Amino acid sequence: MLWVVSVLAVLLVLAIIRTRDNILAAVSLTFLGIAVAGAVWLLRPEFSIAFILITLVYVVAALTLVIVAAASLSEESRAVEMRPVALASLGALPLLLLPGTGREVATVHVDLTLLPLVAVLLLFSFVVAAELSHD
Amino acid sequence: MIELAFLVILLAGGMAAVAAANSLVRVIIGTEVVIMAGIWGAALSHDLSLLAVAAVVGVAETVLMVAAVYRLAKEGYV
Repeated sequence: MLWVVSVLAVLLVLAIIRTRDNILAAVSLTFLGIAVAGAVWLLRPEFSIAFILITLVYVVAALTLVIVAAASLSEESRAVEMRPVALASLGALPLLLLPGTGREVATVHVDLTLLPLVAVLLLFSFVVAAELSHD
Repeated sequence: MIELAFLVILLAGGMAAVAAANSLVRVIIGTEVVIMAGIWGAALSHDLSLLAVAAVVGVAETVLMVAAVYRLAKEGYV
């Protein structure tokens, strides 16, 4: 079943690359988030699906709105050139061939000591974001 | 094997989107695809704690990226 999601992901990425419309690309990104959440569900059905799915979908959908707002804020466009950076990042792909431990037993409990750390991280990033976009 | 292929699709697809970008919004969208590759890579470890941390870190830095591009757009750089 996972290859269906893979084909879907390829199509969505192609849609993101080919379309000239930022809003269509953001909507494709939302659907790609749903596809990844479905892939996690297919990989490990015993994971708490609600958490993963809600996080992915909510975040991508909510931030889509912000991206769209930022995109429509200014009409003056200045071209960016990121091709060398992207190609250099792709140079790290052979690292995937390194052998892993191949653990098959799933850990289905969330470590509760993560919660305050994660909360502090989120609070920090929201405060910084508010400072950045203010005034 | 298909798990690894899905990871490569997300990584390479995101980087292709960044390489083909002509605006900062497209760069962010391509980076979001790569963030999903990170979340999927955490899921491959079969550890729910790692997956939760990956999702939350993805949220945090997406918030920062979008705030930065919003600020840049207000100053006319996008």
